[in-house]
Amino acid sequence: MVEGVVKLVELAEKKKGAKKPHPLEKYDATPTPAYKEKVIKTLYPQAGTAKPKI
Amino acid sequence: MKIGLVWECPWTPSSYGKLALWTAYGLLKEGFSVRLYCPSMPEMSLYSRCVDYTVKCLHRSLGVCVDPGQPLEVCHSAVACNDRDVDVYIIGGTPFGRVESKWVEQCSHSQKPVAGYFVTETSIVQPMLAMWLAHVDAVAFPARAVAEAFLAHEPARELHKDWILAPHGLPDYYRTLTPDQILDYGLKAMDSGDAERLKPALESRSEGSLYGTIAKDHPRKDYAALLSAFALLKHKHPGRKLRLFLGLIKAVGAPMWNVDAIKATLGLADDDILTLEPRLQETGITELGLLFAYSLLNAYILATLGEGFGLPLVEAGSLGIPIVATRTPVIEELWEGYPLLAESKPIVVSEGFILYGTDYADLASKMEVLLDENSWEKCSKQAKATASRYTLDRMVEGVVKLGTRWTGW
Repeated sequence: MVEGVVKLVELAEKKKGAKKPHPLEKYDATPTPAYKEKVIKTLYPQAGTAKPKI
Repeated sequence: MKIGLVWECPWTPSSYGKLALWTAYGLLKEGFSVRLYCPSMPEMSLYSRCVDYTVKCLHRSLGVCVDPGQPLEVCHSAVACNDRDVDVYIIGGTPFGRVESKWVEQCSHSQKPVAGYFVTETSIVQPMLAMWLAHVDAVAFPARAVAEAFLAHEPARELHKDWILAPHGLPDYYRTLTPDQILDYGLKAMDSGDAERLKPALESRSEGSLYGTIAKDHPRKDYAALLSAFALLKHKHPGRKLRLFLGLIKAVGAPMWNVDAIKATLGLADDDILTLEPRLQETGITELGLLFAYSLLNAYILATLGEGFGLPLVEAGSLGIPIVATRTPVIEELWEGYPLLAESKPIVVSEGFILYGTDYADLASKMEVLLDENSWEKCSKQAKATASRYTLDRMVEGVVKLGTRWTGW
């Protein structure tokens, strides 16, 4: 996976100024809400449903 | 119009190899010109960079053949996306895979439109990796769940709002042949030594007790779950001649399962587990060999951490072999309405992928359902009906939509 990310960034560099330009200004690596929610739900299936402990 | 398919080589005995050949065949039948680019072709041949590949079907009399009727032009994938006479390129596979990411990279510089026919086994692709999709002009996926996995990232979704659904599909012989026809043909063609080896399998099959799988020996397939479920079942039904056919084919570069150790831990005897002969574990099996193996089984079982489509399930199901499989989002979608999906739990693996752990006990109980003859009949019909949704024609229709969006063919 790390290899996939590194290659992706290299590719963005290489495509700068190319005839067919990079489609996005820059990659946004911030986890999106949808991604975060799915990972949290998987790790903590009870997240959001448990009553707070007093 | 000429379509350049960048995918597995059409002679490779694997799901991708077959899909590449079948798609090329379907496109030729629709009147397109096709050039296939693939990795196990020599980079250079003596008189040309490409070869004309002619399919040689040894079992045409049985109908097991997909023959385009003309040679298929095949070139090395290292030269993909550089040919002026190709109008559109379509890349198959997982875009961030080791081999495919190279293709996406080289094709993203092409002035011709480039599309991706992409799969992934994870139920969510992390945002950075989803950005590989930014380097193709259009995408198709074989299931909605695969699209959701890739397009959970807003920039990727924004770029590919008009993605195309193109489920993988099988040629007609999967739906017209019966397991008995295939077994009869195969047994007649077999020498006496091979037939002798099959005796235990046929013995179990005759009483409806032969379960099995044919798949790559890869960590993504959960053979520990399968063997554990089988051991549970065997323990519960000591009077039956239950056997498990483990048709594992070595996957290049992947760590292998230590089946013997698991077998010993679970107290299973050598005779309980049947395997492919060593030569076939190395080379893989032909289409007829695969059909023969499916036909031997009373049920096809797939315990998996994740599937991009799960072609073997559709193959076995088309023949009327009931299947039992791990419930993953892709399998749940494709097998909607089918009763024997084993429960599972999502797990986040270290790469940020979400895969699925099979519930061993539930897998065993779903396998047990098939020991009852009436349930078996019902599931056989349901498996056939479900799998029949996935035809080669439907797949090609999706790929044509993908390849012609710029030209309006």
